[in-house]
Amino acid sequence: MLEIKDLHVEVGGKEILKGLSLTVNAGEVHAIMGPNGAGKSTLAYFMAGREGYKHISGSVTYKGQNLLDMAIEERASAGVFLAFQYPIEIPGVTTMTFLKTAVNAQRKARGEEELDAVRFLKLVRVKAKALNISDDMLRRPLNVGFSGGEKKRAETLQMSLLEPALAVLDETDSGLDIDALKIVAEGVNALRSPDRAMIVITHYQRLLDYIVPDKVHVLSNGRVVRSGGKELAMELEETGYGEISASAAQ
Amino acid sequence: MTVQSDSYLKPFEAVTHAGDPDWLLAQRARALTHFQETGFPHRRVEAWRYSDLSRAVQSDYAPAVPSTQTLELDASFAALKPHQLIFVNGFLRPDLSDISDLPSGVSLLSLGDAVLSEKWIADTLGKKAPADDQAVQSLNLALAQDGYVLNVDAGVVLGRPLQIIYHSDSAAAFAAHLRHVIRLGEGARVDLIETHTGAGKAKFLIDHVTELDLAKNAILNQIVVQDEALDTICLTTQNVTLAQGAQLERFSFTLGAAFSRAQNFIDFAGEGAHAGLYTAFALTGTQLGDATTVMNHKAAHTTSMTQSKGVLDERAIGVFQGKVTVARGAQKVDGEQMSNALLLSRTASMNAKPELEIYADDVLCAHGSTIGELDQNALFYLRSRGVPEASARALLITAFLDEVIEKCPLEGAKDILRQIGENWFAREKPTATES
Repeated sequence: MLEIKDLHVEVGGKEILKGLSLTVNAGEVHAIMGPNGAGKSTLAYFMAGREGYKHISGSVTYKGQNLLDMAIEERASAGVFLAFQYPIEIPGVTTMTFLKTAVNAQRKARGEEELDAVRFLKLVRVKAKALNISDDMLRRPLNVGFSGGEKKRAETLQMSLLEPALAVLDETDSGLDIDALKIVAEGVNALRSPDRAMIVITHYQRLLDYIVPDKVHVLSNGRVVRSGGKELAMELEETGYGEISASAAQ
Repeated sequence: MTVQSDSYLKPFEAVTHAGDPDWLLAQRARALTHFQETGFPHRRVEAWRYSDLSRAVQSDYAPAVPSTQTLELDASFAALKPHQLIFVNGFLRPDLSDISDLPSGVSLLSLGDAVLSEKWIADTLGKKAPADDQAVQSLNLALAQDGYVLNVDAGVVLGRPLQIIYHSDSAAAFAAHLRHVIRLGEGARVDLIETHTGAGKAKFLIDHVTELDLAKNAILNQIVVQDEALDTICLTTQNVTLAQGAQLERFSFTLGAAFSRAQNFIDFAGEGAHAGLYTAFALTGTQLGDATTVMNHKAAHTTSMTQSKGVLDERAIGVFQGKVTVARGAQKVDGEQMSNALLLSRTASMNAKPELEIYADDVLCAHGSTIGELDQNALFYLRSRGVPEASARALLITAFLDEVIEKCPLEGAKDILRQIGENWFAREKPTATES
């Protein structure tokens, strides 16, 4: 599904990713953990195509295609989804309008028939209910005045409607209390499937109690310094990142 | 005397206003003299510093002449089933209009008929122009050839909206000056839609001055869509007097013309009077759009809200001038002004000038202004969900304008206005040319 090879990326003239390699297969859930400044969010934004991230060398191949050649919206329509750590507020655009625009834009780009208002509404109602999202929230401007939990649930709803092949969740647990975390995790788990891969980026092990990964990678100083199974997350919880970061610096 | 005013006035010497009563001829003569002395306002006149009319009026204009052509007229508001009064090339076209169903207590006459039959007109026509806006209003009074006079008796509520369509379509350049009078009796209520449209490549100068008197508790809801042809100069001026408890709510959408200026001079003469003036601009190429408002709070407990939202592309220029004055003793006044502009290109510009002049000590007045670009984070967010860049931009711009379209006083017109906005995005944009 995704193959990243020796990726080097600069932000503002400073090299953040320094030879990162990662392979994720369909059906797998990978967790990327690491201390602040390791390059976790940079990897997420760079893959989504955000401006300001300069590609120096290395490759990102998604379903056999060069992901970096694709425009932001093309990546999305091809099935790459980034759940934002800080979802953007869009005044004046209701959540419902936004969801319909996004779903139909992707369907159109893939040559599929667009959903009419009635079919779309039905679909949203079912998925929103599972995430405890009210009609009132759907009528409000996207993310404007949403609490931290509401924002993350709205991100999860988008993911559930857009049904991406590769979902990257950037610190989805940040700003969530335990109840909100459970709702979001359930939403994410419901999306696990043999044709879908997920990359869960997190600073803390806590989220991984609810979204159990197949593989865990530790990112430090712009590279993957250790990979292992879910037990690696437990180990990190006990030892902290200090030791690993120190060994990566050598 | 200025060379420019002389050469502008020359072709109008042939227009005699022969049917006018003596009092009006005398007023016209005085107004003409005044305009000859002052000429067109230019950038050294403070109120016109961002919108140099003298520079805009460079070509030769002939007086407009009545037309007889049959036309395809704007039907955007058809769903509201309005009564319709149609002007083509500056002249009323009774044959195209439909005002047969107006309720009793409503009189709608042409200016020419009204000045002969309505005695009260003499007391209001030309009497309201503020001291610092005499030039344009004098020119209008001196040369006005047509217009309408709407008089609504006390307590009469117009069920369906009244739509006035001004359409210009002529192979030859012309200038049309129109004068209108609206008088609403106590408790009367009118929904008024004005549509300004134009076709063709000839240069038009279209200048409206309207005098409005709203008696106690009268309500006027006004919607204006200015979508004139792209070589047009379009001036609209309203002199409004609001008696106790009277309300004016006005939403205008400015999309057309090379140079347009909408002026509103509002006198709050009685306690509890309220005015809300909302403007949306969507301009591109080298268009200039100006919304100038003076809220003159002479009475206590009066409220005003002025809001402008402008989307400016290419080399377009937006102007917002909002002045709130509060007279001595006019306590508990609430006056608010807000201007927001979204610049879609680095060569577009916005001039915002809010002014407060307050002589009372217990008032609430606020003003604010923002000028910015599309939010790149929002654009990225939308694109990261698969929305193509052009659609994402359109969605954000529409959302920006929607905040002021929401203020439109006619609920049923909001979707029509949104559609007009969307049509603007879809339209082939004129390219910026050297002027």
